[in-house]
Amino acid sequence: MISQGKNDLIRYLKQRLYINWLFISFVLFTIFCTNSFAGSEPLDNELYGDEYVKSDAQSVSDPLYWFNYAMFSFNDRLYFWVLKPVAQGYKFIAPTKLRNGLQNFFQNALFPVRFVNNILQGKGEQALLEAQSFVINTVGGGLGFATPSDYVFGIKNYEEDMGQTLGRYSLKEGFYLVLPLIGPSTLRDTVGFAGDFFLSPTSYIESAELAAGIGALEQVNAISFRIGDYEALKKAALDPYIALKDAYIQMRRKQVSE
Amino acid sequence: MNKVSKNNSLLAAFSIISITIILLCPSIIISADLAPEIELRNGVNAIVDTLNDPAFAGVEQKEAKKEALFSKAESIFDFNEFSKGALGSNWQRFSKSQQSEFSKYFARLIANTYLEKIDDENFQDLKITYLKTEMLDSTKSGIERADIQSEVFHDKITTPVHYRMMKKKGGRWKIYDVKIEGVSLVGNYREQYRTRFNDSPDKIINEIKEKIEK
Repeated sequence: MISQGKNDLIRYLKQRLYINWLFISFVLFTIFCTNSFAGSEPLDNELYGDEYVKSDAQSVSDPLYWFNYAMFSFNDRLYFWVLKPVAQGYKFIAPTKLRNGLQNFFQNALFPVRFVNNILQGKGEQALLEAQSFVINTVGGGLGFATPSDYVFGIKNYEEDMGQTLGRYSLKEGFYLVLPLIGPSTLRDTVGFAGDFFLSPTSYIESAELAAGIGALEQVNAISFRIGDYEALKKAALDPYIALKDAYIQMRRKQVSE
Repeated sequence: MNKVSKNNSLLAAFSIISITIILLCPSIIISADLAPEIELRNGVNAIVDTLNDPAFAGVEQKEAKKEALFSKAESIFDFNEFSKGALGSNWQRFSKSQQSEFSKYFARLIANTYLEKIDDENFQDLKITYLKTEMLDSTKSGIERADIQSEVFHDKITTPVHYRMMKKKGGRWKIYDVKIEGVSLVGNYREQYRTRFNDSPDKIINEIKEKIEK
């Protein structure tokens, strides 16, 4: 009986050793592979060479290209046929002060998103500053239409969202995804977007019509400040689809790294 | 006695020399660090001054203004390096004359889009703040590089703009990439050209030429 137990123990230890060895060799293999890949990255231009290796391949895979391209075209037309003319008309009618006030109001209302994500990323000081500016602007700035937090106290907003939080936790982008109405995204950022949905106050408006109306106002108001940006990007690009995709990926990677 | 004083004077000479070196060194380092930022400031100021120059105010001055802006941009931007970086590995497939032809049109494309955009709006309230200059490692062939962080404030929006500058031996500091909100201009074009290895250089040049003439 005892020798049976001993044999079991030895077999068990051998198994453990085997598994450990498998694990260690897997890790070594992975490290070796990554190194050799990094080394074989073509450094065709030494001026930009280090960035090539650092950010490894710039691109994120695009397995849903046809869906994404269709959504890109849809959003493009939506912008030129609907959103831009509406935003231009709105900009013409609505005084700049009102547009600024609304922009500030929506920004203030999204405080829970920034607050929670700052905390999730371990940025306690920034979360505290966010909370301060939320109180200051809600009370002293008439529900956030004005931003005394900025022009009196000099507190800036710290834009953090769930996509960035997931990126902070070393989650990769997954693949590229273009969402209707929303635009460029990735699998990770879409998951993050869904998470942020539960943190934004507009999601808790009961009437669907009202929620849609407020969403549209927020969108049109934001676009009224940015008319011409998308046009410039499109005009400068040789392939607007790739240009937009790459600009989105580069921008998000910078936001995650900060 | 004599030997001691000789040693002392040697020591004194040595300490004077080393103190001078220590005192001089920081100033050398500082001036080397400041050089790219000064060049950048001068270059950007020249462009902004041209934008606001009342001599170019009228509609009939539009072409002249565009040319003036382009020549100012050319003196601070290295469009040849821009083109090299944008084409990535495709650059080697281009002959010398094709490379210079591409650079010529590519410079126009960038200048047209961005100078036109900033000329459309009133840029009197433009405020540029230079935040930090970081010296980067030199390349293997000895090209010095620097990263300069700035913020552009206009129309109530603050945009972070980073410049990548380089200095070849005996040359001046010039911009070889611009990153707006973290998006590298050169990197964005490189991504667009990345899958174009099957297209002939002439096709690529013509495409960009047509885009400018549009």
